[in-house]
Amino acid sequence: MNQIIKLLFTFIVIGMFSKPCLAKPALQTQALLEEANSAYHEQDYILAVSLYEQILKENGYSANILFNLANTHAQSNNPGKAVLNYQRAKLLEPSDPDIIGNLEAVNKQAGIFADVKPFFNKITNFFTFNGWCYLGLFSFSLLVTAGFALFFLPTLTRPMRSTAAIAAATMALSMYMASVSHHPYTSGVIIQPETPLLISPHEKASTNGSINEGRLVTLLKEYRAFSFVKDSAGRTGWVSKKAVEAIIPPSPEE
Amino acid sequence: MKKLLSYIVLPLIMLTFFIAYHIKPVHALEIKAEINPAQIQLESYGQLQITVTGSRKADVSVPKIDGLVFKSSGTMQSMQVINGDTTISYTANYIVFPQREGRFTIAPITATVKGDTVTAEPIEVEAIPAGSRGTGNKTLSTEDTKTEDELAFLRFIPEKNRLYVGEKVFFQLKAYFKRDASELTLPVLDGDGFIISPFSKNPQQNQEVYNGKTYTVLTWNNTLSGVKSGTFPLRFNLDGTILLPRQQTSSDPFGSIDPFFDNFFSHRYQKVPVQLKSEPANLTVVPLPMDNQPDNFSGAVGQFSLLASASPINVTTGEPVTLRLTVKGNGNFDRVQCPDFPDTENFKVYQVNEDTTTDRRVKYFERAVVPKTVDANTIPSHSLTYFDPVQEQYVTTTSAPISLAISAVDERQKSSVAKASTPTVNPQVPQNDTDKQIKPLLFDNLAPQKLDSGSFTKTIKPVHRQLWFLVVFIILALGLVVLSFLVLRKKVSLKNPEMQNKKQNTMLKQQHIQAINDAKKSGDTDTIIQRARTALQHQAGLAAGISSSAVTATSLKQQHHVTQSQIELLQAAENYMFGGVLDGYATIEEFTDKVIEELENKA
Repeated sequence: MNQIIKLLFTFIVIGMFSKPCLAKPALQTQALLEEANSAYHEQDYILAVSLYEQILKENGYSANILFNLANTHAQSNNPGKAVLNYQRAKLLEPSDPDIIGNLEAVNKQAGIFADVKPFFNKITNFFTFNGWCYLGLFSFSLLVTAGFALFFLPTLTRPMRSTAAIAAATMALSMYMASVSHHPYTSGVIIQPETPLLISPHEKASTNGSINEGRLVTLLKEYRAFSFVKDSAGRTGWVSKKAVEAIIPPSPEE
Repeated sequence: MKKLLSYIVLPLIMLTFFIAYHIKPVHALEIKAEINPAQIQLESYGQLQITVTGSRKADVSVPKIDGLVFKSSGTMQSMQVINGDTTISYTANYIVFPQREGRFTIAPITATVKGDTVTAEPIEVEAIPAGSRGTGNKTLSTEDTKTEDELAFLRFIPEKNRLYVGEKVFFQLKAYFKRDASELTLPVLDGDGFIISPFSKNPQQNQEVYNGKTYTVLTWNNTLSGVKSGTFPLRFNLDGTILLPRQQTSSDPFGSIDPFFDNFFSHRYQKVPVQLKSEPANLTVVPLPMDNQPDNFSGAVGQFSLLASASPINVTTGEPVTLRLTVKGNGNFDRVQCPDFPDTENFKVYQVNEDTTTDRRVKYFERAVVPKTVDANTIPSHSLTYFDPVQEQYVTTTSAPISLAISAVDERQKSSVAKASTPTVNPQVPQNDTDKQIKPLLFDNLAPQKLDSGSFTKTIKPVHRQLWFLVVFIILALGLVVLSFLVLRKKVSLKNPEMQNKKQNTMLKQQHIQAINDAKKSGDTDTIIQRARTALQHQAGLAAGISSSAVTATSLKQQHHVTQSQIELLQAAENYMFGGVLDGYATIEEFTDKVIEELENKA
């Protein structure tokens, strides 16, 4: 019985934390990638961007392609687009040192310096948002299983009680951490230089300052051609939808 | 009777009040004005009451009388119903301050109601010297009473009366109070063509002797600037209330004053609203000279200094340097703009972030500059042009240049960085590709392109928005609900004796059936019959509500809760036990099967 439980537990953990099943790229994709990389090295950034975007359009999102696209935007002096694609790549591969390093370099060049993260943020960053969600779901399933075992198998009362308590605590922690680390999924990146922060959603509205290209903002709501955003300094205002792009790209069906 | 009251009388009362309140006045408009006392000491005050009967609202006009100052102290509306006759009235109250001795006639006081004007009879009032006794029965207040102008006033003290457009001029606004003041508003500018900074909610408060008298003074230090050229009058207003002693009526029939009672029992104060206005001051705003106005003049007027600093100063080409320009001084900082970076050929220059200190005496400009080549070893000096109103000329201040130690990026170091970040080398890029590059790379320290496309995903939605996650979550939530239901049901059943008994009886029946089957296996007929009888007795006893040991086939015949088959089976068992014959059943198996069937049906 114990062996079966251990085996089941192992399968669940592997299933929860493994990457989603992903399709293998076609040969054509590899050829396109090589062509795009060549264009990048020949400094034909316009061609490189179009080829990378074609790969993404045909196959979906890949951390590597997003990374290459971000590099191309960075070299073609589009720090906003570069930061956007690095952020997207980071969501898929949160611990990739190349992505982290290049994102820092572009931010530094654009005069965007990361806030000093307190110790608490380091704990939050122990998992990605998805990681905390998986852990929360696993804890929840463990809690329910332990509950049923407590009800139907009175002989297992003691171990099941401990399991249920640990599962409940882990679930609560995961939910909290997930809520704290949810920020990238509600954020966007300013992709136009000196984007004015308007006080109302009209082109001729007066401004409340401007936001530098490449800055991360929280997307709060939308009205016609404008998005209401909040920057890291706490300033709020309306920016043109053309000037900001959500880190989570709209899925094809949306 | 109560219903009659509630349904008829009460609505009638309410209707009466409603009509009484909304009924139009039948009385003609009347106006009555009276002043109290008729003799007012200088440095004291009287009360003027104007009552308009026949309307709830009226526009009352008090004439200007040389030597008397009227200050409104509020209005009042009233309604009287006497013998069904409704009278409404509007009362306006004024405080009257005499400015000099003499007799005055206040006339004509008029009131206008919906186009109709009524005029009050003239009123005579006499201002007498302070300290003298009037003929009326009014007493005077204590020695502290003063005319309003001496009790509270406002002074506007500008640093100078001639200023340039955009120049910030320091001024003081002082509110003087002889009496306790309260409910003060912030001062309000009354004048066009000037901009002032917001007044502080916490002005300085101190005691000050002015014209030989001691006052409590609130002082605001502020700046103003002119927005257009010309001479404009300027004054400030401030609303508030001051506490004044009430005019007391002496209870002494001889009109004498009892200092004891006046000071300790009759000394009551009232709040009098006041509006303080500073004396109008004419300020002349002159335009900035257009001659020799520098091209880079952005409108800054004042006196400023410029300081530049950079960090780090030991960098490689392509590495950003943070350049900080600090502008200090006095003036209109909102018009101070960041000086242009002079050398955009050797440096790549980024956008400016600016910040101003809360006291608006220092402004910072910060920007990233990136040396493009090793020749960019000096951040050139920056220039700020402003108009100095003291020297009355344009001044350009310049920061010192900053030397940088620039080194080229070591190619070996660059390749080692690339190798460290990505272990593989790009095979499809020939080594001589770098030779073909015409433009320098904007970033030469980026980790190189990935050579494989990696794994693809159709969406980078967060997991909690994906369908599988939601389905699993809902299933688990349903499981939790089911579990909660089961636990709750168990708890309820434990507390319910009927359900508990039912459960126990079911278990007991199962035990009886098991016992019969066990006996059947042993083949002992007596035991089988005995156990079958016990089970039947137990079942019948439960149904009839009697003890199972007292159950017999005969006793069951009088019960309505038992079936005929139960009675027959029990009768057969008793016959066998007492007579040794199993009547009605061919074999013992047939009998036991019938018994088990009966028990299971009931279960």
